[in-house]
Amino acid sequence: MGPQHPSTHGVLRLVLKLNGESVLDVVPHLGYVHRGIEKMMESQTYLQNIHLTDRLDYLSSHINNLGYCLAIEQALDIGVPERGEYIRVMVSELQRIQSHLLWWGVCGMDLGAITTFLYGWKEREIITDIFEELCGARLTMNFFRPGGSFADVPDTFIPRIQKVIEIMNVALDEYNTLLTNNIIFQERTRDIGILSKEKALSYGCTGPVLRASGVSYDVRRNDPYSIYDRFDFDIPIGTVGCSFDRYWIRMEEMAQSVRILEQAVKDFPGGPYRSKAQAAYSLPQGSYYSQVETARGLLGIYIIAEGGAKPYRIKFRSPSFSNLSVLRDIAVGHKIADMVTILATLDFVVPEIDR
Amino acid sequence: MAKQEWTAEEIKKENEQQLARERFKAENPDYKPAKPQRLAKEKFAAVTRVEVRKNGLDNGSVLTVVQRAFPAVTLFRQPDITPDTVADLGPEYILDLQIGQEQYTDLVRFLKENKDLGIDLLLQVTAVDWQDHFDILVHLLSTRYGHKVFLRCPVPRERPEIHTISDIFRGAEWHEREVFDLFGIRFTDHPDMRRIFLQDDFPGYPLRKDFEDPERVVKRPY
Repeated sequence: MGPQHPSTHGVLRLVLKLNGESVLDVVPHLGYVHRGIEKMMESQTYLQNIHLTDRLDYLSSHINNLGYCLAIEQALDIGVPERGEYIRVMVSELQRIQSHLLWWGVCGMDLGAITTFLYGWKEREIITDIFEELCGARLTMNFFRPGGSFADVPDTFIPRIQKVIEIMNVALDEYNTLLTNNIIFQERTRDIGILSKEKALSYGCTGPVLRASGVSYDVRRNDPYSIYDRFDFDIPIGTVGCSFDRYWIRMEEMAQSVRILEQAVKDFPGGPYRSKAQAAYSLPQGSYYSQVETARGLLGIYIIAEGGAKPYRIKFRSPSFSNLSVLRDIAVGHKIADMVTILATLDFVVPEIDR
Repeated sequence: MAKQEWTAEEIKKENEQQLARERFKAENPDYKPAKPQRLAKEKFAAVTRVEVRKNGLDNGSVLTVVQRAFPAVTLFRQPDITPDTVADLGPEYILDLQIGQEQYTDLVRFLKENKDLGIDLLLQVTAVDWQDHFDILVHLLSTRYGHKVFLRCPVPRERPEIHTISDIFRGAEWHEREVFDLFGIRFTDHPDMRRIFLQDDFPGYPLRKDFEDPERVVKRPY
């Protein structure tokens, strides 16, 4: 199956051992989009590297930028003004909604409901337009810098987010009537690919996949970065750990992101959007680690610096890498069509796995 | 042949552009191009960083528990630090334990099974090349409390081999394959020791500092 199979979400090749329709064994083959980003970063300066973080998980590029900048800020003790922090939180949550909308559309499409793809894309487009106005890019943003962002938000930013909140509150109900409450969809996802709590932890799963298995761990709550500790939001967790739980966690997460946006819009402050910029950053000797919650889970950025303008080694702990590694354990024994369900609800992005 | 055709095409294009410029000048003799205006540079003040509250056990108590069971454990590049003085390294310092190869797997197992520490999630296994030796880095996290513990184990360059921890954390299996692929460090007793990203006949291990591949790697001209 793959590397050009539509349900593998990128160039992933799965070697299946089958008995009729039943999957006896599955061996994922990775590396089709391995670009050696970590090696590349060793020969570039810290500022030149920000745009490479976009290319990991292209659906969470703002959040990847943020994580990388947090590590540099930690090393050099750079602060971010109030307005900058609000911009970071709002943009991150928009990105999360946007990523989940794409996932929702594709998830439906993988199961044979092409309508959802069009619905999901419709709302996603509104958010992508906000990003385009914000930084000129729709996918690979390169927006955040150590100390804030490279530009202030446009005047239309807040009214547009208010519009998104309005639309999303209606749209989420619409999605539920369209797909969640559909009996065929429920039959195809419930009790498919059950991932137990112990197994999820042992494999190092994070994000919605871990939370669906009943572990309440969200970096935004348990290890807060930026100003997430000021907002009021819930961490949805699942009980069974099946595909439907993973699906439902993401739907709930969109509603929670809308809640965060509502609070952020209400007290969005004025003032400077970034702190003093430097032409080049040089990190003192040591190792620095920061972690953020992307749409897929825990992204860890580990920088080893030996002084100078270039990093000695950078390692990205990508959530999809660990989330995909459970595939063999939970897919074996199911039918091929069910494996597509599992692939869809694991929600991985292949460039982030291969790096 | 193709190169000559392309050069001829380029020359032809340049000539056409030159002609167009001359024609424009003859038709509009009074035209003056607008001068580009440089925008004023915005000035920003430096902002002091607010340290975010960290959850979980503090470094001192974790180090006490670990050093009671493993007296050989030291902190990387901080040889004089004891559990009482580890707080001096700041609230954002993450414990960076160093351990020899003989006790490496025992320590990982101890960290996972100790109920007081509550460590249950493997973030990653990775490595770093220090030119004279490698360090295997294992990053662990407690989802219950929220604290992190990092540990490292030196591996000699002449014999890059270490025992696997994939029997303790199953997620380590792929991480160790990645380390093997990019650093060439072999994990003994690993269930599936193959390259994960690169093809099997790829020459060398690219994340090593002495990796050179003149056929594929193109050096930047600047």
